[in-house]
Amino acid sequence: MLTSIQIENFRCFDQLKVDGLSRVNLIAGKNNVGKTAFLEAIGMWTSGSNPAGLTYLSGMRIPLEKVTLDIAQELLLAPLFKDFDTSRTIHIKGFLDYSELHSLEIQSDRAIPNRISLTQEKYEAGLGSLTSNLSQILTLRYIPPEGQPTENQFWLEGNKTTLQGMSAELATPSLSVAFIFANSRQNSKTQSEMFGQLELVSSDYSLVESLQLLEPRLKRITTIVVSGFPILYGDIGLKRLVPLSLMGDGLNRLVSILLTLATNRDGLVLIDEIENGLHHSVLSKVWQVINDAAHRFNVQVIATTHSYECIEAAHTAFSDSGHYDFRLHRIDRIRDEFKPVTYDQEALEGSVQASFEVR
Amino acid sequence: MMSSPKIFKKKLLLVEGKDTEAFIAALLDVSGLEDFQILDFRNVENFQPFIKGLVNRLDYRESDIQSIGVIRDAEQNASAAFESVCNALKAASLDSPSQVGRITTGKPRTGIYLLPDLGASSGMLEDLCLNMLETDAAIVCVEQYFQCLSSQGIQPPRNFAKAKITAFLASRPELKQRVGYAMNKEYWNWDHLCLAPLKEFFKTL
Repeated sequence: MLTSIQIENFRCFDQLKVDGLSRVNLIAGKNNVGKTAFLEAIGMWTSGSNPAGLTYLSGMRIPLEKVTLDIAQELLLAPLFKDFDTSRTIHIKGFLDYSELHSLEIQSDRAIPNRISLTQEKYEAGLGSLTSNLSQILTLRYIPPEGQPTENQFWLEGNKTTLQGMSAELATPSLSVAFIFANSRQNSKTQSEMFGQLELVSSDYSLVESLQLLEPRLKRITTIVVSGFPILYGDIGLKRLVPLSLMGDGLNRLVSILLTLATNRDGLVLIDEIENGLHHSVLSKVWQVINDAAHRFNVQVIATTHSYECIEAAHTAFSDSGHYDFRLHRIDRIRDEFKPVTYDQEALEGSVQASFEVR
Repeated sequence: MMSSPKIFKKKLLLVEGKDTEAFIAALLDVSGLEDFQILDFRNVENFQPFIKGLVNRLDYRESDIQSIGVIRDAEQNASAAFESVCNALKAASLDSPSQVGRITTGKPRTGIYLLPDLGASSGMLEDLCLNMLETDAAIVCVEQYFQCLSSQGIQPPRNFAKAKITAFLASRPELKQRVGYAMNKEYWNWDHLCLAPLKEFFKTL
């Protein structure tokens, strides 16, 4: 489990250190304090020297299929660095289980590596400018707790929208990660695949029972292939099955969350704006089923929120569970410094009782 | 959600309950002390969660708070009450003073005052109020009232101080049933010497 994370020169953060991460964590704070950037930093860190972390970033902020070289440069690569200052080095250090330090360094370099001989030849033949044809080169250096660091370089080239790399040696912390984005629904194929995985290995887990919180009529979920396209359907007692995707944002949000937890055993799930689509009246029960799934599948959850009801509901649900492995972390911006603060059960109880603002 | 009022002063007084809040507000007013903000932590059991939540508030963290005073009843055991407050301050990563009435030198400064007064081993706000009424003509009648009840074999009240204050308030032109509602300046002797240590506590904090 990720217990502490330290971020330097990433996005808006000069420096940010958050300790005391628990099984389930909510990240609060005003607009533009870097809640989503905090998740992105963790995503990058879990990806180690694998550029998959960059893909998570683009998915969070811009649709990947629309990434061009210029967009990537402006919206994806340069903004990774504090104040767009690509001369800085990004450091992301995370502790697993308090003692196992995994570090990631990200550096930018516009120099063209000698290894790109083909492009070099094109340049010498006057076929184009090297620098205008390549995005920044990012060096991802992953330093494990033991053993040698691994270092890889990646860039976007020409009109290709995939990341090009110099090495196939991809090392990451021993922690799988999954993202659930704020406003995008998981596609039906992804959900069907996750549902299939869940059916294969966790037949004792009743997804339906958990979803009945939001749709009490739901009796069964099944995958049906329509024109070669797998779709999840639900049986709610009508004469025919109904596509889950038609059953409302709240239910689909909970399906996404629970399927992601269930298929990411021993891993970490990052959720941006977890309350999206969920009515405040069901939030306590939603937290109960998230708590249940997080324990059952040994998954850590780090989620952002703007909602007081969401925080209060989580506090209530975890207090009632008898095992309060939940923390609220708020990122504050005080005199231009990012200062996180962590609420344990007692601090949150006192705040709720006294109607203190905690968001 | 009904939010607690914003922090707008650099000196905070954390008090136990509405009655103490009203009493302290009146005392500050008659003493001309304006640089304090009073926050009610409601009951002693709630103090530690309250102070831990308070120091996490964004407006607290932004406010550069200079000092925090905690005012509560000594109740049955002043030593235990003092220790309880000290433990809560430490749990909130704040300094705790060496004894009642003393102020720490850290930032923020902290101090603890137990009612009714500095040297008391037990007691409460109503004991202090009774001391303020020492020379009030009505208090003689109040004493006689309880003596009369006793002579009739009527079971005495469990809390004499509260009962006497209630009887005193019943003697006023406008009936008020609680100290907090009765903080009219003219009812009480705000110049009584028994208030001097508390006023000094405010000035030092």
